[in-house]
Amino acid sequence: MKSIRSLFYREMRLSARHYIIRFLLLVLVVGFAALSLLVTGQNSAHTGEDMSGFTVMLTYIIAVVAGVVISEDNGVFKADMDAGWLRYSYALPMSAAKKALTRTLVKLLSVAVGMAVTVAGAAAVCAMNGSSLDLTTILNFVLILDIFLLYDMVQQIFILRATDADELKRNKLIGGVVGVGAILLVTEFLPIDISGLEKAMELIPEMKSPAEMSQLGELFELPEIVGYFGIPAMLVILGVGFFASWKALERRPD
Amino acid sequence: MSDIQYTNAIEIKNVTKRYSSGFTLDNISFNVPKGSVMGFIGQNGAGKTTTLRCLLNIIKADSGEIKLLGLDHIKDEQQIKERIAVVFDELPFHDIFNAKDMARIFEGLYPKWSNAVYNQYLERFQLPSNKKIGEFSKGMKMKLQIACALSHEAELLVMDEATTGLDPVVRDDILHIFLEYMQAGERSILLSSHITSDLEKIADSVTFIDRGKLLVSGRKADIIESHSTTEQASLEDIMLYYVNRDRKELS
Repeated sequence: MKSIRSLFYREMRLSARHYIIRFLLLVLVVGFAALSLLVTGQNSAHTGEDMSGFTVMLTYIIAVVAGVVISEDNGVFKADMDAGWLRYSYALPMSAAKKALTRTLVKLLSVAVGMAVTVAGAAAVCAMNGSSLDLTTILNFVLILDIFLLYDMVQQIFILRATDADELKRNKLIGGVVGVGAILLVTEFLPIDISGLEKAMELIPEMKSPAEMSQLGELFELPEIVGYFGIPAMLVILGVGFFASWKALERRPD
Repeated sequence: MSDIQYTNAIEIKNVTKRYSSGFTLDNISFNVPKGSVMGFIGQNGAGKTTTLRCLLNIIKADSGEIKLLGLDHIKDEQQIKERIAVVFDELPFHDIFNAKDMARIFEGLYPKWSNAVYNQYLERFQLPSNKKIGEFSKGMKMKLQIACALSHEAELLVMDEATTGLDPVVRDDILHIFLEYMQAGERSILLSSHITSDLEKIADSVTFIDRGKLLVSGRKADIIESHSTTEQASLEDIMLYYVNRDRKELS
């Protein structure tokens, strides 16, 4: 436990700057969403229904940005490689499992903060429109974060297998491509119409009012039951990510 | 497990490591007796670092057997690493950390870590505890790495070119510290270097390596005596003798 605490401290110190900047960005997005809601609401031509659709869309934008924030590589592995710590760490009494666990805990913390900011931000935006955030929407946020976490997990497996800087660059790229592939594969099994994305791309240029934009959400609507799989799926992704990281970190350079 | 009695702090037997570049660490065998300082001598690229990385299980040897403190270097890796310390030629700590941060990290990793001992070393080396490591000079960085290595009662110190690139005063300071470390009990040091004058001062035994092959290994006094004619040979003379002999044989 003491060693995990030490490693967690190290990892947090190294990634603090990365996360502070990203979460500030997320807060800025929340601010921007609130501002756009305020500006749009001043136009008397918009009905209450228009505004509530627009509000929902803004909350999902916040969740997507949170997903980007938590899934972005925090750069600690590269920093360890550059500093020589990665090689040195093999000479220290710390197992690959402990290193992987530490990384997973940091990821879990970033997910928790990301989720908290998203829910708080979305709730604030909803409150501005006189509505409240419902459980289904929150569960959908979790699903959105899951998709980004899946991408991150796949990419991390490739990143952590790198033993030098060139391999790291290459693996990050390959991991990103495979990560996108993994998302497409998983969405194939979800009861979601992926062609909704194509339809949305066609419709967006022609959309002029928030009411029209709020219809975009309908293209991606999921059956309510799917939302309840969000948290278990997140735990599975983090668990698989932990074991995959463990195995990847056991690898020694040639 | 830590009560296992051992006579050699390090036992390396028939270790081979082949690289795709063509370099081969070829069937290396030598022992570092408990309570002694061994100098591991060779030119740059001779295979010193590869040997040390194999024995620390930083890289996997293709074949051979390695024991540290009487324990298997892979099977008992965790236990070994709690009881040894490693010093690299370059500081492997992140520039954003300071000496205090390093103590916070290491105290969780080493069961016998002592902040009191660490702070004594910081004071002795005049190292600031709150200054970022990135602002340290090369000498300060090496001293910090040594302070970290000596603050958890390590029974074995493995050092790879620890004195390279340092000015003579700092090198002398560091060598004195190693001698003090040796006086504190049955401790052992394996110090790789191509600076033979440093090893002349502190080594009890020496191992010469060149182009991945072990040339000679044994007690320093015996090796010097066997290579001295009318004048006493230095370790540098002996290294040059072996390297030149090797080259002649090759040509």
